[in-house]
Amino acid sequence: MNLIKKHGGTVLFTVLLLAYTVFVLLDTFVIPKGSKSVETASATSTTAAAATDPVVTDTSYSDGTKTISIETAQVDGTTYYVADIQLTSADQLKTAFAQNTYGRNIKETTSQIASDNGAVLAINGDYYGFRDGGYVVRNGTGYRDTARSAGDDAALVVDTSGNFSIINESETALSAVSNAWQVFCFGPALIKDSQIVVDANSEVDQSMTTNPRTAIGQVGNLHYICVVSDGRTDASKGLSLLELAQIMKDKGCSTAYNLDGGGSSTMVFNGSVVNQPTTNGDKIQERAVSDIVWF
Amino acid sequence: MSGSKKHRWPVWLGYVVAALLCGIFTLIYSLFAHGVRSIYMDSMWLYPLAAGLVVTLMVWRHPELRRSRSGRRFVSFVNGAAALLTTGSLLKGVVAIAGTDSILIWPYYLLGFALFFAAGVTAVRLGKRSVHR
Repeated sequence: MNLIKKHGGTVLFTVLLLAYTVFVLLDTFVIPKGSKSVETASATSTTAAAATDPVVTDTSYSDGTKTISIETAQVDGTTYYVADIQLTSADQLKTAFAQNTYGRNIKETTSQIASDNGAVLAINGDYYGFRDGGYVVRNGTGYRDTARSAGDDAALVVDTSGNFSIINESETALSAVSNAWQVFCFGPALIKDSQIVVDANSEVDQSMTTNPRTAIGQVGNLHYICVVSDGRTDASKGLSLLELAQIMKDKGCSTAYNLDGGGSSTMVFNGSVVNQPTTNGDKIQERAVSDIVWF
Repeated sequence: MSGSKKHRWPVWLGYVVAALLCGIFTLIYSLFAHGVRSIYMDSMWLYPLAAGLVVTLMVWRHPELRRSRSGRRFVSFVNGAAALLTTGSLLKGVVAIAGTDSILIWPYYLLGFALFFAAGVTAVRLGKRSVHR
């Protein structure tokens, strides 16, 4: 009884501290939070060419409306995969949410979301659901208009004509962005106006190492490049942002943007995962993510 | 045996052990974080060390601190502040390394610094009481 009297306060404090800490961790990483739409924009009205029977090989797809080819290459001991995509309509560059729901901690693997949407090619998106800030516009619908702070706020805008541009959220309100078809909030921008805009010291947050990467870029009118690299394994260490930007530039991109990387980096082609995604260290396994970009 | 003194660990020992544990946790966590680091996690060992320094200095200055109710309250406030700030720093580091953030972390800092302020007020009162004696 004396012991309880002496240490009761400490025990209560410790229990409350632990309980709140567990709640914070669950809220941040586990508990799904519902969907919300903040604004609706008009969707693109471009017209696609007539589809023909698709011609599919292990590394290519063509159906008269879109042509996709996959190439595997290596740089400095890192394997990366390049998808060259040519579309006939801007609305063929699509995005999808895990479980078809917008919100935090709502996740599925890239291959599962791709399968649910009948995607020929899919890459992981910006994992918007892991943060409270950053613009989110998907398939013409605005979901989040909360700007990130300066220095970490480059967003990729894909307009209804399928053209890419980079904006800074701290300088440009989402309402001022006209004809937004997709807006991604990860970054940084890799190429602007055909110039590489990252250097050897550029990194995502505090990370200062090579990593698996995912990037998307525009080469020309309705012509895009997606790159996914392996990393975090003995066979493939990963790319720096500068190396990734150089690959995008070599492929002819005039604008390119870094999407979520690390364990999220995944490319799916014709229902199969193309790369070697890592989860929980260097285990080869797909990570569940919030969203994908698909064609 | 009735004359034997009850053994007491040095005041600073628990705080140094806590700081060491924080450092070890940071090192182990960084091994699994693919080189991603957070200043919050890297610096969390400073809170128990700072708390230990404050309490040790107070006990050295006022040896009666351990016996008085106000003294024990002062130590509780400092320990509570250190626990909150260390845990808040740890969580902030974990979410930062994961690439996200949580608004629920700020109460750790708010309450932590509030307790530290309360400890300061208690220490001032203790000092005044000593002077009056």
